[in-house]
This record gives sequence, structure tokens and C-alpha cells, in this order.
Amino acid sequence: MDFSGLNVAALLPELLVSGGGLLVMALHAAFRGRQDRQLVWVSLASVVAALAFCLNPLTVEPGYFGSALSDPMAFAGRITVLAALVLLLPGGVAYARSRNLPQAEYLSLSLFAATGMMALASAGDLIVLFLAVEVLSISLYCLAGLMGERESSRQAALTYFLAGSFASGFLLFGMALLSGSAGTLDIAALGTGLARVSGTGTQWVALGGVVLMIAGLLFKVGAVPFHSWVAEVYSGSPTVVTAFMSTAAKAAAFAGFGRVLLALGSVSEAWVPLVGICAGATMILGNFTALVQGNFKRMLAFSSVAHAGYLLLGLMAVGAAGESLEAVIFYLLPYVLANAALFLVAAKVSQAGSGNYKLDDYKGLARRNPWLAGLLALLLLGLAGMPPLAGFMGKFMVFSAAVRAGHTGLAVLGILTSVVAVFTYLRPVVYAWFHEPEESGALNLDGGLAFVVWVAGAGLLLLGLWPRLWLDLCAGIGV
Amino acid sequence: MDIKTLLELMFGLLTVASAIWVAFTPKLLHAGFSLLFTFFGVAGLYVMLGADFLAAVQVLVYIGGILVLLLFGILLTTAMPTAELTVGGTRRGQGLALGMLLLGLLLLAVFRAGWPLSMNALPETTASDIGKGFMTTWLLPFEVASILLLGAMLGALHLARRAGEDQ
Amino acid sequence: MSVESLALPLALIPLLPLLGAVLNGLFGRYTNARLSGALATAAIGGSFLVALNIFLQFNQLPEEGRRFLVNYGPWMHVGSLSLDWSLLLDPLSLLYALFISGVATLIHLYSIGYMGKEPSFARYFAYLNLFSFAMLTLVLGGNYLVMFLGWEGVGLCSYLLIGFWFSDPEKASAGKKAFVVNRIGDFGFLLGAFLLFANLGSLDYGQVQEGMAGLPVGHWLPTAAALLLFVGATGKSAQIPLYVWLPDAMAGPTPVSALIHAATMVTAGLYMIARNHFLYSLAPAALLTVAIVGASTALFAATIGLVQRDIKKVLAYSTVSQLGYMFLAMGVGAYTAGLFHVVTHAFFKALLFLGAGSVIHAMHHVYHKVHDHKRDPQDMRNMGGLAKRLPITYWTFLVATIAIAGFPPFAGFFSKDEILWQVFATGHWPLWLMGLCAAGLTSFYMFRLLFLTFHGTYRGGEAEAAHFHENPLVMTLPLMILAVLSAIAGFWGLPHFLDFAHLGNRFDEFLAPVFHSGSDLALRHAVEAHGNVALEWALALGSIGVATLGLLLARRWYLLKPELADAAARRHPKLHQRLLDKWRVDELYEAVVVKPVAAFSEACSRQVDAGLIDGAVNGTARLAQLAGQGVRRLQSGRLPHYLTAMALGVALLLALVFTR
Repeated sequence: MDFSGLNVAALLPELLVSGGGLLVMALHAAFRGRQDRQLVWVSLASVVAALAFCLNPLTVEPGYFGSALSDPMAFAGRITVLAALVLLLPGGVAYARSRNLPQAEYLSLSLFAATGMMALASAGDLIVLFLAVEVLSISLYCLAGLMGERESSRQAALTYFLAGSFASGFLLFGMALLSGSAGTLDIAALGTGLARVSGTGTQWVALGGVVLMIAGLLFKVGAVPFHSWVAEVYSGSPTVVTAFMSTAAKAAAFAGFGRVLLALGSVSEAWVPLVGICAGATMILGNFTALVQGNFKRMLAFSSVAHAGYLLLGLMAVGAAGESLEAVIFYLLPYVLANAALFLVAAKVSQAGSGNYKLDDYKGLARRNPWLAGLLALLLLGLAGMPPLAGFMGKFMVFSAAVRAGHTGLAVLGILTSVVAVFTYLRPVVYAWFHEPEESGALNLDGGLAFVVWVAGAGLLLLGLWPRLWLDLCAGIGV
Repeated sequence: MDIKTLLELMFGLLTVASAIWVAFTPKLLHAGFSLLFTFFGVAGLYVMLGADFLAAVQVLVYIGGILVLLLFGILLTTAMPTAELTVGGTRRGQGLALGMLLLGLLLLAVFRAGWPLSMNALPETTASDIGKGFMTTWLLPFEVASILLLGAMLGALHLARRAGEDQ
Repeated sequence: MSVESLALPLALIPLLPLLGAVLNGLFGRYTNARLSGALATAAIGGSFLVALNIFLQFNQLPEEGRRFLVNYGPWMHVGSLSLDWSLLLDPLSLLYALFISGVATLIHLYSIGYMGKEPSFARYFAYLNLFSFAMLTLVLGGNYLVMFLGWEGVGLCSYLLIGFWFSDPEKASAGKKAFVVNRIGDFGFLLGAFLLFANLGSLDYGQVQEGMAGLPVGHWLPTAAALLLFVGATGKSAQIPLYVWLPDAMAGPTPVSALIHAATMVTAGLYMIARNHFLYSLAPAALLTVAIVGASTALFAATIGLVQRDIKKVLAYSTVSQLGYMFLAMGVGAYTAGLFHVVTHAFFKALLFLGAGSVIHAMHHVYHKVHDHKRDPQDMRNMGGLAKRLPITYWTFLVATIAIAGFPPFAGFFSKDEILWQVFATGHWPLWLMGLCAAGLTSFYMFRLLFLTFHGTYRGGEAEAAHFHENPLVMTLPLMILAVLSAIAGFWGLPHFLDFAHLGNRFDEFLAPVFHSGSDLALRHAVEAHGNVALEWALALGSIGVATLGLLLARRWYLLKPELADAAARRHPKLHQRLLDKWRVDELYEAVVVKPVAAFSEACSRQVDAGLIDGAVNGTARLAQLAGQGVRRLQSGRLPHYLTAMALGVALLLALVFTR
């Protein structure tokens, strides 16, 4: 047997993270759970080590016989997922500890989920793609059920599990039809494979496969018409898990989605209208629904649906010749930073207030903690796409990519709906700054949360002013 | 119609019919046993397609392992063997129509397709190729699958334990 | 002067106020109001000095060398899109930088006195500096995106400043309204920018201008782009239909009104049109739209200004009306005339607002002394006879009133008359007539304001009036400086029929290098062809006559026989009420825009939540009871709904692809 194509180094980040997960389990067992407080450091160490390997790759060759890639998309996906982990793990552990939930299981399942996400971002063939989707999904189902102390979170987990399995069925069936008609499992070779059967009867099977696969992926990113589970699952799951689902998992799903669509460029006339309709419907429905939510967590859930619409718009652009995924790659990082921080802030503010994420909890936040209120405004305006924050740059890149690819109508719709989004994001800001507090007394952040919020805020500003920083890094290291 | 086609049809029919039974019987235990025939039918189809190793794995792992575990689970849990499931209800018509619509659309693709035949001879045995594949080309899926199983096991164990502690 | 030697000073113009904002934001709480204000004033004053220094050197340069594009490095390069951090220095941007930083410096200085007792002074000065930074970025930006950065920045800062006294929900909602209406305008701006980018592949001013060069007059591209950008301008510069935010925005502190709504932010739309003159000159349809919107706004806002009782509201509608004049000028291709009015208006309107602020400050003081917190210190019905009590305020206010009413030789006369002349000379006589009517109304409502506030007797009684005293020098000094400027600035742009000493129109000459493209010149020649000196004299005398009429009527109604004004209101109660209600445009927007959007959102929300029978997340499924209760509950709950929706979605997508 020939092992020259193995090149384990290409997969080091994934190996380090999953290894971290295994180590956490082993240490938990070895110390009989007495040292669980230290496990978060083990986990973070493995994440940081993985980050370091991403930034200083030993190799840029694909590994595992072409199953694991290290191109800009893979690099960006990995970094985005790892960044989300760094932001979320400490908060999640604190949450678990305060509610007497199992920390070790939380940590290792998070790390396994992250392994799946990273594998998804760097998947070179359809089998790895599917398995990666399943790894991340199953770990998240378990996390949602595991971390819940309320019935609603278990129901959310079960709903997510059943709906997700249903979608996985479509995804797998689509992959089977697609790879069968294209004669290959290699994602990059799908395009040429399909070009061979175009014009013959087999192309109908291939198109059916494309549609089913796209439907499965649309479910994973929470786009209309496959979004119905989002509200219940996102608002029912424990906030730390919701944050993980709506940031890292979504980023990874978009990375995999983008890779597939890029490969299907040769049959773009088949899927571009389809993705376009979904993108348009997602932008409209997500933004307008978010507008009337009186619950901060639900508002964030629907706003993440809306963002999926913008990202789909960016993905559509790769259907045109010569377009790359740069806009999508850029969009994801600030989106993940802002959303991760906002969910954690939501948990904190809700805990100090009504306990059920009412927008009213934000009244007078500026009086209780002006820095937090300021950063909240920064993060929300970043998501709304105010310049000079990175959210604006992301939207600008996506819209200009859409315009270049000839989807001007959708770009206009995107700009229009992002005006609507401003109303949505402004409401908590107005509550925070222009209302009298209902409860008095300062609302102090613990060190971990303050770190997250500051890092996210600074990242949003930095990426907005120097978008090249991130894009050059992606382009320079991966290629 | 030669014997091969006849057998293929038979296995296909067995798979589909038993699967329908799994989906629609209200008795959990019946559903479990019916699944046996589904797995067996699939194994038969594998044999007909020349995938001998896969057929063996299907019988050993799915029938011998997973299904037996499932049935043990049902039988050993107090309330389960006699549990009645609600199936269908008000949405049965809706679901049926939708299912037919999806089936129709996929059949449209199936009948439009030309289904060209491969001229290559079938391999004599597949086990060694599959084995080599798992060690080389498909090494990563193999490894990712292990993480998948580990994560699922971890979560399932813990969820079960917590639910047990609650009561 | 070279690009290299300019790089630092040019960057300093916007960066100094940013530095001031950062310092005040971080360390403001450790200082006192005076120190904090002095820092902010020094920061923006520094910008002014740098701009002035550049201006002095600039005049030495040959005309064709007065354009510098300073590139500070790449911002983003994605696909074919490449944008740099760049600043553009040409006569247009320099003009704006000069008067913005100059007027802003005076307003900062004034604020030290006005906001001295405000507890969160540091926050106030930080916002003020930040606003100046955004505005200077807007005008100095070297491409559409840097401009947009400033464009959004001023929107955000005005939101912060208008909502500054956030304990008052009405003021908070005024800030929100300003922000949201501006966003609607920004939508037009972005669409216009994307249209240019889609067709020309660039967002750099120079490259867009080059790309436009070959197009024929009336081509769809410049027309569409110009119209879309104009939507942005109507938002920022408060024109019909997006003017509604500006009057509400008077809720902010008065110096803020002076800065944002007189001198800086509202002139951004005009700057944008002047910057894109090459687009507009190619698009006669867009120009005509601009002119019609401008003339209508000038007249419409003036009618509302006639009856308002709040001193700042009158000034607000006056601002909207005056901005209408500027757009009218732009719309007939008289870019320099419009810009000249921008500059003179910046002086006298800032003076009017600061003067009004001085009155309000004094009224506050008096009400504080007599422990009265019920009466409105901004309502002119509570004032009267303040000329004796606040002499400096009165005399400077008088100068500004004469200037805005259009009496020679004060600044407003020259700039407004130039606009009316150009409108007439280009053959737009209906628009000219509207402008002339608005001029009469302007004179009327401004003198009404002057008489109600400063003349007659104080309506709060003699005892109370004794508490009045003139505000400190830190507030009156800016008034005096602005009064001098309002009086003499007109001579910078002397029209040629009055140019007896052959000084030349310095203002026109200064801006000439900007507006030299072929289509600009064609518009200019049209004016010269129609013009003759006798006609110009006649028009000038006509507008002075109309202004005099307004003055005399105001004097008769509000000074000599106040009962006449009430009688007029009683005679036409419906009209009077309509004017007081501002023609009920806010109510119209509520019914036509706000309500439908809310209804649509509710419908979307219901769609998403369809199948939620109980509406709350309170299921009781348990994983351990999967076989029993749990599954039944799930089946009667939402899951089948989700799955049905998903399967339906798949079927639809499949059908879509297969039927193609």
C-alpha cells in the first residue's frame, strides 16, 4: 500500500482538537471528576495549539489522500470555529459549573463538535463532508440536551435531533445521486463529472441530487424554507449551546456549502435560481420576523436566519465565472465574533433581570454599566452593518460580489432588508441608552465575559478598518 | 424474466413492505421485528449487486448487532413491549400526499435518466479492496466516523444517566 | 505643495477631533467642564488652523494644480473592487473643511458656556468632536466609500447628540427618528454607489468621472445614479420627502442644533451633489427633479415656519426651507451659487441658533430663579422685550435676521439673489416664482420671530424680567464673530452687476477648477446667454421688495397690532390648524409606511410560529419516555409542522429545477 498521500500534518488542527476532547474524558475518569475545574484549561490549550498550527502550517498539501484540504476556505473555517471556541468555552464552563451540570462532558462534546466543524470546512470528498456534518450535529444534539436544566431545552434537543436527521436523509440521498451520476466522490471533481453527463438523461438524476443536497445544507444553515426549527431550537437550547450552534456550526456549514457550490459551478444555471429564491425569502422573512420579537434571544435567532440570507447571496456569486468565496469568508468571522459575544451578554443580562430574555431587561443598561451598554451598541450596530465596523464590510463585499455576478435585484433586496435590520438592532440599544433602568445597581461583568465582549468589539472594529488583515491571512496561508 | 431479476424484485419487495410495516404498525415490538426483514432485504440486494462483503457486514452488524440490541432494549424496558404508538393522526393525508409528490418528482428523474451500464467486469471479491480503501483513500472518513460514534456514545450515556437520576 | 507634504496635515484635519473625542471619552470623567470643553475646542480649532494654512498655500498654486489625491494605503481589494484609504483635497473639499471646522470651533467654544452645568459634559464634548471627525471625513474622503463612512458617521453621531438628554423619551425617539430616516436615505446612496460600481467597476471619484466622460447627456446611467444619490441627499439634507427628522431633531441641546442642522450635516447632501456634478450635468432629468424638490421644499417648509411657536422649531423649518434654495440652485446647474448659499447660510443660521440658545439659556436661568419648571422656555409666547435684557444677543440676532431675510448688503442677499437670478436666467420661471414667494415668507417669519422674542414687553412680568442678564463672553464671542461674518461674507461672491470696483467673484473663481467639465460649462453658458444687467437689477430689486413686504407685514401683525395676527388665525381656523400640525405629514407617513411594515412583520412572525398552538415553549417531552408520552406530545406539537414544511420545500425546489 502506498502511504505517500497520507500527510497527517494537514489534519493536525483537527487531530489536536479531538485529542483535546479525548484527553478531557481521560482526565475526568482518571481523577474521578475531582479536577474538573482544570479541564477547561486543557481544552483551551488544545484549541490554542490548533490555532497555532493553523497559523503556522507545516504543510499546505492536502492530506489523507485528498480528503482533508488546506485551502483558504479550510483555513478561514478552522480559524473561525476555533475563535468561537475560545470565546465560548470559558462562558460555557462557568454556566455548567453554576448549574451543577457536567463540565467534562460539555468540554469534550464541544471539542468533538468543533472537530466535525473543522473537518467540514476542510472536507475534500463527500463522505467526509457528510460524516463531518453528522459529527457536529450529533454533538450539538447531545450538548443541547445535556446542558439543559429545563424541559424546554430537552425538547429543543429532541426537535433538533429529529428535524436534523430528516434533513441528513435528504443530504445523504442527494450525495448518493450526485456522486453516482458524476462518478466521483471528490468534491473538486464533481464539476467535470457532471459536465460529462450533461445533455444525457443522467443529468436529471444529477440535478435531483444537487437539489436534495442543497436542501439538506440549507437546513443546516437555517435558511428559508428550512428554517422552521430555528426559533424553537435556538430559543429552547441553553444559551451557551445556542451561541455555539448559531456561530461556529453555521460558519462551518457555510464553508462546506461554499465548497460544494464552487465545485458545482459548471451547472450553476440549475442551482443559482434555487439558492437565489431561498436567499431572497430568507432575507425578507428573517429580518421582518426579527423586527417584532420582544425576546432578545429569539431576536438573535431570527437575525441569524437573516444573516444566512446574506451569506447565501454571497454563495450565489460563486456561480459566476471568476468569483471566489472571499466575501463569504470575510462575512463569517465578524458575524461569529459579534453573535458569540451577544449571546453571552444576553445570558448575563437576562440572568440579572427577568430570567427569560425580555428586551425590557436592557432598559437603562447604560446607567448600570456604560461600558457594557457601549459594547452592546457596537456589537449590534456591527451586525446591522454600520460602517466602519466589520459587519458593514462583510455586507458590502457580499453585495458587491452579487452585483458583479449579475444578481443586482437580490443585492437591492439585501440593502433594503438591511435597512429593516437597523430597526431591529436599534431597539435594545435604545432601551439601553434612552430608558430609565427598572432595576438599580451596577451590573458587573466577570473577567471572562468582559474578555469576550472586548475581544469581539475590538475585532469588529479592527476587521472593519483593515479587512485586508484577515483576507490576506486567508489567502496567504492557504494557497 | 430470469431468476436474477426475480430475486432482485423479491428482495426489493421485502425491503419496502417491511419498511412500511415498521413505519405504520402501532406496536413497538412488531416494528422492531419487522426491521429484521428490512435489513435482510437490503443484504439480499447487496448480494445481487455483487457486494458480497457489504452484504455480510449488513447481516452481521445490523441484524446480529444493532437489531438485537434494539430488541433487547425494548424487551427489557418495562413499559416498552406493550407500548402503543400513535401513528399518523390528522396529518396522515397531508403526509401521504407530500410523500407521493416527492416520490413522483424523484421518479421523474429516474425515468428520464438513461442509466448507462458499466462495461467493467465485477470484481470477484470486494473485501480486500474495501480493506485497502479504509487504510488509504478512505482513512479519514474511517477516523471521523470513530469520533462520531464516540460523541454519540458519550452524549447518549450521559443523557440516559441524567434522566435516570431525575426519577 | 506636494502630495507627500500634504499627507500629514490633510490627515490631521479629521484626526485631531477624533483624538479629542477619544481623550474626552476615556479621561473626561477626571476633568471639569471647562477643561474638557477647552480640549475639544482646541482639537477642532487645530483642524481649522491646519485647513486655513493649507488654504493660504493653496492660493499660490496654479489653477490646474489644485487637486491632490492622498492615498494612505489599501482598504479592501476584493475581486475587481479596489478601494483605498484616501483623502481628496480640491477647492470644494477645502471650502467645506474650512467652514465646517471654523463654525464648529465657534460652536464648541459656545458650548463651554451653554453646557457648563451639564453633568455629563465629557460625553457631550466627545460626541461633538466625534461628529466633527465624521463630517470632515465625509467631505475629505477620496472615494465614495470613505465618504459613506463619514456619511453614516454623522448620522450615528447626530443620533447620539439629539438623544443626548436621554432621560426624556420624546427626545430619545427624536434621535431614533433622525437615525432611521437617514438610513432610508443612505439606502439610496448605497444603491447609487453600487449602480456606479456595477457599470464602471470603480468607486473612485476620478475613475467614475472618467468613465462618465464619454456618455451622452441624458444617458440612463448618470440619470439613474444621480437620482439614487439624490435620495441619499434628501435624507441627509432634509428635503421632501425625508425632511421629517430635522424639526424633531431640535430636541437636542441648542449648540448641537446649530452644528448639525445649520452648518454641517444638512449640507452633506449638497456636498455630495457638488462632488458628483459631472453626473448631474449629464442628467437633465435628475437635475430638474432636484430643482423641483428644492423649490417645493423651500416653499413648503416656509409655510409651516409661519405659525410655529417654539423658537427652535421656526429656525428648524427655516433651515429646511433654506436648504431647498440650495438644492434649487444645484438643480439648475448653478453649483457655485448653491455652495455660496451653503457657506453664508452656515454663518447666519449658526448665529440664529446660537442666539436662540442664548435666549433659551437666559430664560432657563430666570425660570430657575423663580422656581418655575412648568413653562416652556422655548415658547415665544412667553418671551418679548428681550432686546434690552440681552443686548449682544439681540444685535447679533438682528444681523442674522437681516441676512437671512435677504436685505443688502448682508451675506444672505448676495447668495440668495444669485440663486434666484440663475434660476430665472436658465428659464425656470415657475421655480423662480416659488423661490420668490418663499423669500417673502422667510422675511415674514424671521421678523415675526424677532419681534415676538426681542421687541414689545416681556410677557412674564417686570419682576421676573429683572432676573435677566446677558450670557458670559464665552457664549457671546462666537455670536459676535458670526455676526461679522454674516454681515460681510457676501462680498466674497459679489455678483458681477454689483461689482463696481471690478474685484471679480472670488468665490466663483476659487471653485472654478472643480466645475470645469464640458457639460458644466454648457449649463453656465446658458445663464450668460440669457443674462443682461438690467434684468438682473430688476430681479434684485424685486426680491428686496418682497422681503420688505414680509418685514412690514410682520411688523404690523406682531409689533404694532398683535390682535390682527389672532384675527387672521380665527378667520382661517382650518388652514391655521393645518400649518400648526405641519400639514400632517408625520401622520401620513405613520399610516402609509410604518403601519404596513409593522403589519407585514407580524404576518411573517405568525407564519414562522404557525403550528405553535400554545405559543410558549413548555413541552414536557422526556428522552427517557420516548416511547410513551413524549412521542405523542411531539406528534401533536410542532415537529410534524417543521417536517412538513421541509418536505414541501424540497418538493418545490425539485419541481423548480425539473420544470426548467
